[in-house]
Amino acid sequence: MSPAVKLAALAVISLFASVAQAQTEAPPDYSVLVPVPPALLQNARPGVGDELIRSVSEVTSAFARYSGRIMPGTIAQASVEGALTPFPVFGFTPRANKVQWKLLPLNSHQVKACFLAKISNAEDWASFIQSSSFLKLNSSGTDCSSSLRWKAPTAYPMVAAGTRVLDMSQVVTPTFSTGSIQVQTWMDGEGAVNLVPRTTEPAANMTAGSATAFNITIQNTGVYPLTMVSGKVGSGLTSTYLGNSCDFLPALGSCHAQVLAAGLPTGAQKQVNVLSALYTSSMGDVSTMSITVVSRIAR
Amino acid sequence: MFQLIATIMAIALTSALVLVSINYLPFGQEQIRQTDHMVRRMLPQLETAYDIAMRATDGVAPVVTGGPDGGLAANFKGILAWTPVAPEGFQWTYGKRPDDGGLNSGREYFCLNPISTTKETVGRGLYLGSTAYSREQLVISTSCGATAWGTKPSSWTASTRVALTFYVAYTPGLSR
Repeated sequence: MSPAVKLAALAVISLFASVAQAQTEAPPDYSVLVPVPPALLQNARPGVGDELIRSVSEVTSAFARYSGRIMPGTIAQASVEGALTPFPVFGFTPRANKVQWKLLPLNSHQVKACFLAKISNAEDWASFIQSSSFLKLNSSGTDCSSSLRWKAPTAYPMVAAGTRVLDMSQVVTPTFSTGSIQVQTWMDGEGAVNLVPRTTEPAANMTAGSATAFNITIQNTGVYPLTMVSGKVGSGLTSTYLGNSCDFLPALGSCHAQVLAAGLPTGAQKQVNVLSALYTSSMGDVSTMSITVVSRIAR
Repeated sequence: MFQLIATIMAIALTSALVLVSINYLPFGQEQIRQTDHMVRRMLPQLETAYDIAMRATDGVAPVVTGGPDGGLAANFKGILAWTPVAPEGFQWTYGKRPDDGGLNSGREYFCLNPISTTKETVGRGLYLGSTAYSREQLVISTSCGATAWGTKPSSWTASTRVALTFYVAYTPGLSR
């Protein structure tokens, strides 16, 4: 037998042998595949930055959900102390794989959210810096209180911290009404619309600096008089009663208030809580209303 | 004749090499990676679609219907502009927890509902991708709408089925 034929025979034998081996081999052990080698997941696995973005988003959302409501029977926002523990009622507790977070009280309406990221290598560091810049986090020391400029690490692992101030006064309470009260709102030159109870969106858009007025009609739909026990008008706004005051509403009575946009903030779009009021009736019933508008800069 | 033998030999050797190499390739790893990637990339898209729908309706959640997908296509296809792709053996559904006062009470959710046996590679991809999310927001159990994590399967058999529930919450005035 020639060497070529011998070689061919050997190849054919090895072919059949390998096929047989493949058919009789036990199923692969997937457990050895987890964790999957990072190189294979380079385009899928999120870095520290992705987790940071998720954490900041969850904490900010939960704070806004907590703050953007009125305590039952009042026109007041919830206390800032409650904002320190917003989970799980007001949001989803962020997963703390590489990013830890904590909320620190600053004053009666502000909370500092601090995010601590574990940086294991240069890739983590780049990801952290990129995401922190996108999120506009303030650089901080790991104690969350000192202001410290981020510097490229000289050794790994290390912890980098970023903070963000969350402000309850910037979270506007929703537009809504409860109890025996009906509210209509309209801009000058437009038709009146009923305020939908428990609406989460602003009642209207106003343009800063415009002379156009925002109008509110409040009607007592009950058979008992309503008395305003507390109320507040948005900061810098001017409001006037046209006709009778809104402080007292007889049964089925109504009042009309006009709000001018002159005091609305200019610049970027901003929500403003125009009017909040709490009414009680002689029967002890409580009616609440809160009206929010969005101001826009005139272009 | 010699050329013919050499050609056969070359083909045989190449085939043998390929078959032997298969044993060293991480079989199934690609499906784990794809499923992991899908969970990490698609859930935020569905979350954003929910936000857009809520903003458009002034905070009123899209209605859950009795259809097989719970109204996911009817409510969100116009926003997503595509039909969400589900991993093998799964179907995307939309649902809502009852108002029972418990965790995620009254919240809407998107779910990867198992329509057949959960393959091990897909299941492992789901668990891998889930690590990016809060354990309150994303729950892997045996059925959609669960609020507690089920036991992770120790062995993946023909009867193994896992469901991935992803809860969503709207925040007025905030955009993701």
